[in-house]
Amino acid sequence: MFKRPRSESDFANEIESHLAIETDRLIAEGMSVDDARHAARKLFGNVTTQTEHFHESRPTAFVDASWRNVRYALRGLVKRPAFAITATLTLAFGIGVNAALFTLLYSLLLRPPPVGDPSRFVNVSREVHDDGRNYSLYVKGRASMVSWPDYLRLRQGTQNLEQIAVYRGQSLSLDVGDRSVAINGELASCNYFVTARVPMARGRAFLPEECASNGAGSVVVLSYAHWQRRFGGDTTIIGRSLTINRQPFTVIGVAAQGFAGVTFAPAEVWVPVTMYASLLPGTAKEFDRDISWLAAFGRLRADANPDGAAAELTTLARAEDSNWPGRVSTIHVGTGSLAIDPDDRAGVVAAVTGATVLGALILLMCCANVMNLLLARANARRREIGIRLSLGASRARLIVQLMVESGVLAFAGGTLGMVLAWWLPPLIKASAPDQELNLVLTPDVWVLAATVVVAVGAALLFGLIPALQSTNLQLTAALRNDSGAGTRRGSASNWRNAAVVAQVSVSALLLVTAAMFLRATQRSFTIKPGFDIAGVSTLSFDLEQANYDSVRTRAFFSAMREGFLTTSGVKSVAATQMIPLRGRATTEVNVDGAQGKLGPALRTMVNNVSSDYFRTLGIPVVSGRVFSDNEFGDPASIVVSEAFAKRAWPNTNPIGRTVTEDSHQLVVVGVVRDIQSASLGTNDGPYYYKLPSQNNESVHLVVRTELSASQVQSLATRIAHQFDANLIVTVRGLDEELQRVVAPVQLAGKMASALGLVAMLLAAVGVYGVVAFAVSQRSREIGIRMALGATRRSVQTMMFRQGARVVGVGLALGIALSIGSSQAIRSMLFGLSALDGVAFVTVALLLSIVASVAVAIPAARASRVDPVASLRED
Amino acid sequence: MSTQDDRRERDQLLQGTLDLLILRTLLLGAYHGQGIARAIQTSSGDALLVDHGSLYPALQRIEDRGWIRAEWGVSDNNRRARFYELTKAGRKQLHAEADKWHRIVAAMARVLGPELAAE
Repeated sequence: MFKRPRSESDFANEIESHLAIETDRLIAEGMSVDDARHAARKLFGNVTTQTEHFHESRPTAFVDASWRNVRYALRGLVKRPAFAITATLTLAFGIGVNAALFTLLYSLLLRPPPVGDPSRFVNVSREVHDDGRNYSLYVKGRASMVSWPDYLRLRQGTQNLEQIAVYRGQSLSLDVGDRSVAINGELASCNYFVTARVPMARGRAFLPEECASNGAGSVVVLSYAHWQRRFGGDTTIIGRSLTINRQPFTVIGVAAQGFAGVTFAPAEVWVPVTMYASLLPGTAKEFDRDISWLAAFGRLRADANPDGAAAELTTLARAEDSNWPGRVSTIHVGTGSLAIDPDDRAGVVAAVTGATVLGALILLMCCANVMNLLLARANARRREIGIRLSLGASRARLIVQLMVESGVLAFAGGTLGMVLAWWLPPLIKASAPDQELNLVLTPDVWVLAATVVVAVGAALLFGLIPALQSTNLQLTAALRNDSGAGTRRGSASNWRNAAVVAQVSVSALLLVTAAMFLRATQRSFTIKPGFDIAGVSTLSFDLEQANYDSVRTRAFFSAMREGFLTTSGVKSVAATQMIPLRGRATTEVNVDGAQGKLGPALRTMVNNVSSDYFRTLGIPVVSGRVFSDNEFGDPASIVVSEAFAKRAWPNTNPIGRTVTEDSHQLVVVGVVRDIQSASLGTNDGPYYYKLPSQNNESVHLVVRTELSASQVQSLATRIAHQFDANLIVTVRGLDEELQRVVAPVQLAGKMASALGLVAMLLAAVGVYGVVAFAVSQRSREIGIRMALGATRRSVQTMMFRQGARVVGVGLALGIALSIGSSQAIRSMLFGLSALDGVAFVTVALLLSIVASVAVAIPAARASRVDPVASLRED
Repeated sequence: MSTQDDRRERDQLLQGTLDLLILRTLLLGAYHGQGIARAIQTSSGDALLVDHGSLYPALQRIEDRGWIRAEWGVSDNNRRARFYELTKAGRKQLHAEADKWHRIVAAMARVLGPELAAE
């Protein structure tokens, strides 16, 4: 069966020998040499046919034919550059977006973290169920972190794991110059780097002694990127002392380049986990208790597998469970990827699912477009295909050739798409708000393979129907180039039109959403939230972590206050528990009725502020007065917002009225204007303010100054450090808070705009295709009309109307959908009306103009039909 | 206008009988292509005339199926030629096909009836 196939020359030899033998025979029978040769040939029949036949039966014929198909397809595409370029670009976009999504998906979920020998790297998590007795703090019912005692137990008892290490991400404060900055740190067990098999670029990793007891190892390892960024790659970094959370740490090493931890959040420093107590006093008591706060990973022994390891570790954990009746632990061991934390994983999977659906939709839209283009083109090639069929080409062969054309397009589109896949993911990562992500984003073999699959799938999707349809001809009609008949009508047209309507409406939806976000962003800059933003800064301090008691806290705040007020340029200082646009608290009070009875309940926001708060923030007092700083009466004095007064005592003067909260009575001494501190663009509703209680409440300071942001920062730091040099001072302007609130909406607006514009472009191409097809299909009819006296203009209008109908339906549908969807995003719009006229009208206009152009161009070509030629084709 | 589909049907009928003829001829010994063509013509009393060339696709097909094997040799008038020979499987196939043919012919004769019997 696998013997070598005969060569063509062998067959040629056989034929030659046959002819020679026959000639000999005829000569022997008495013919002349020439006659004999001639007769032999005649007896044989057609030599060429047999040679061809032989050639076809060889396997190389297939390869030859395929290559011929490819060359033919390329020639055809070169002759029609507009079609080829449009189709290729459309496919490049559709395939490219999906390839970019694959890259992200792979990076997030499948790619192993940048550790040494990732095949043996596993992550370890613990799932706990109990019967409600709640012995200690852990996350119930979900695979999550382990506790320190757990870790020690597992490490001691495991046979399957070579090593097991734990870590915890923790935001730390590093002293740089005279300021302190927040850095992403990780508390790690001392075998962290050994388990991860990550080498050091400089210096060394932790030693076991450094984790022997609490506070034993005040050493730190830097990440390569952090070392470059903050210390400029200083080669004398080893041995230097850094102050982290007010403690001195010695730099002992720099991790290898490219490693920033095994989860999404890139770590900048690693310190031994046993330094926890020194770094975060006040929280240290949790260290030895059975609280799950550490993430674990390990390295499998060469002969072990994840399931075996999980079973063994679960047995160890269950042994401890016997000390806690009703508690059942299960250990999960999974092969590592960046989504190591089970909490992260759920969120990532959700995001990725959404992105995949989006990608599939985009690809479908692109394929629909290219399919329409191909259908229109197939119609123009009716005659050519009809001739080839009638000359004997089999339908299957023609279909194969048309599919090869689709394949060439898909290949070109896919190649171009890979460029997009290279360039897009880093862009998306860079625009992710707030966090920097620890992702490796170069395309990979797997991504390439997935892209090829997508490209092939796309080629089948958009190529099969046109190929099948265009070869299903009634030959006589096709040869006559009868534009009306010859192709099977019916469902194809309807699908085409439906596809375009869908594209137009999706574009409208996306564009309206984008317009609303953009309008909202614009609006956010002009909204008056009821308090001043310019010139106001907030100051926060880590008093709790510095273990300040209430006496010291009070002393601190009065020192701050005095320091500020004696500086020129400072207008006022106040204390507040909630920072506007950042924090809020709600509670329930009862409005006191007549004769001291408890009246109706009222849900209200609450804030503890000092007396200068309203002046500092520029909140006007509407009636009554503000409490003074020492006014700790009983009942306590409160100031309420207008909405509170209106709700509790409509039509009555609220001054002097009382409410009860938690059996304490509060009396209203003043009313202030409503503000928008919780949600920009919407008034807060009922709000009341009172003095901070005697106890140690975490408060912030707000200051109103004429100084610049950096001046406020240095002033605050200076005054604070005069009191206590170890305090960490965080200063934020209210304009920063505003920016933080607006940023997501801004980003959403940008992304929706980009998507919407692309969708619009695709829809325009789709509309163009549909009208062009209609023109070519009705060319005979147009010819007749023009011959009978119709003007160019009337013919154009006729075709234009046909296209406009489709667009109109799509637009109407899109607007209707947008009205519904804008309700869903109403809360993000900073008070912009969900039926914002400007947004809807602008989008409708934009789409109409673009669609009209897309319809007008092919419609104009309708008038260029030469009536004589089209009628002659009959 | 006939398409390739019609032609394919016709070819199939022809293939079966041609295969049978070739296998039968080779029962008598090894022959080269020209020899097979002549033998068919002669032994059918010149009633069956095929283009010599049309034997070759059949020969190729039968060879691929393993019913005959081929080897280059020298003919009786000293020409190099490719000789074909029946294999054991080919011999079996020949008997099977011949049986089938005889049955078809007998059935056809019964249907056509004595009035239309061959003269």
